Amino acid sequence: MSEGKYIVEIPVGPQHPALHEPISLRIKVDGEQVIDVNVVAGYNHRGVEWLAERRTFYQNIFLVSRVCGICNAVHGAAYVQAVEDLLGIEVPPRARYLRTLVMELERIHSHMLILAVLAEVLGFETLFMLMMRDRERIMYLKELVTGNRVHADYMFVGGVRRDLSTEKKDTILKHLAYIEERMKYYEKVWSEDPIILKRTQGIGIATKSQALAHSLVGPVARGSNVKNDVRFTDPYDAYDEIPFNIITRDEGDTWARMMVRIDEIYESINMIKYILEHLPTGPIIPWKNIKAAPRRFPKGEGIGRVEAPRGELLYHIVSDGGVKPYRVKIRTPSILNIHNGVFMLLNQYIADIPAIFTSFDPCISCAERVTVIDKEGKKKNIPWRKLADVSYVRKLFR
Amino acid sequence: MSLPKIMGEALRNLFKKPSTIMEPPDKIKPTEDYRGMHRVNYDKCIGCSLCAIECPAMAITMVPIPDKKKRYPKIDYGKCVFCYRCVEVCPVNAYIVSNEKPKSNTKRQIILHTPEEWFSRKEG
Repeated sequence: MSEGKYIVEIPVGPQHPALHEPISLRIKVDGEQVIDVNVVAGYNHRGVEWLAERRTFYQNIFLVSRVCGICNAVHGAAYVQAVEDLLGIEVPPRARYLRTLVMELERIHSHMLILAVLAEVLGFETLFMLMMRDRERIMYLKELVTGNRVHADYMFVGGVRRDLSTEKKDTILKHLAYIEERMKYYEKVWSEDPIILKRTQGIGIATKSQALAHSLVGPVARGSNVKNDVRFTDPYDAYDEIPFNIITRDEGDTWARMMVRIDEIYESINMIKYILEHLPTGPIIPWKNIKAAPRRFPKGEGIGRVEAPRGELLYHIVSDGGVKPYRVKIRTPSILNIHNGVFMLLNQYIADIPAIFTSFDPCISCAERVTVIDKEGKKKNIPWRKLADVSYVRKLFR
Repeated sequence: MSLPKIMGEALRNLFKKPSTIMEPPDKIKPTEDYRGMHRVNYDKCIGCSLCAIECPAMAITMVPIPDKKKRYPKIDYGKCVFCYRCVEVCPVNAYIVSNEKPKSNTKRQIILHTPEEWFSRKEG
């Protein structure tokens, strides 16, 4: 082929050393440059929504925490918020502060994880080891507060499941001071190391208009100067009482997204310090004990919306008045960032693909809600009206 | 980092304890409130089967016992996710909690907690 373009398709994934997640990127390249990306998902579909319809409301609190391992407390909080919306329960102030505390601890360790993983993807394995070593302290704090270093299982309808004693506060503050000091060093590395800067600056750029047009969420959007943060735009739990800044950056490249995460860790540390200082006294659950939680659920629907470490997380629960939810709809931030964010990979070099893709903080098991299996290979066009007719809400409330 | 600083750190690290902990993981001490292995005090149990109904992992089944009228919970630690929902809902607080780390084992007998075992140990 002497004239014209010679286009090659390269599969990146699902098992690939560059991406530690089961997702396949079919990349079409012309020479070294990417001209087309096709995301093939569905390797990690577990049918969580289907399972949630077959378990009771209280069993689902523990099921939805297993949607994602990294942001499990946030998933629990969003689900519980939706159930509270359905029941019309007011959460006691102490419980709201404690929920915020656990969610901020989770944000710190999630951001530290992705900073470490990107360093590893760039070949900087020492930084990966150091960051993961320090992250272990946050995991220890999470175990101290919730009872397990990974699966918090901390949220419950109406409040939280454990109280925080005063002795634990000092331990938390001691470890946070250490993390803050270490993060200053990591910030210096991330903003001065020549290899990191060359591999991340100026690649995978999304401008503000592009980020808005592709409805990106979380740190990916905030790296492109979009003030998109549910904690600020639609405050839940104790976020309306705690002062914090939204971190945004103008550059919109891979480096900016990571720097947003570093600055958010500082914000989270300050928020936890504020929470521990201003922790209100009182009950952690609106009833006498957790056994007195309501057993009857009214017919209706509820919505829970929180800012996960990766972006906006939404839960929609529909109840038909039974003990089990009629439908639990989960929309995770990774769906938007993975599928809509591929435009950033276009016109980049193959070697930069893992770095750009990792900077989205993709969580594949979060994102896989539906697998479409086209058995006969025929494409069908479903009109909007017909799609609305089969909608679960219409079916129930007609 | 300058070269002397790096050399200093390298020398210091020679005499430091490693950050990683080798197997067996018994050396990792869980915190006091860690959700570890839990057992049923079958003398207290009234056989209401609330724990079996509420268990999100369906790890608890109610089993009949010869010459006992009630049914008792049998816990399969292979399925258990250690969420402590059963501990919470028990109306008579029959569950005994500990911060002992759950151990993995291929032997079925070890990852099961059965009422037969409890009652036979009591008799014998």
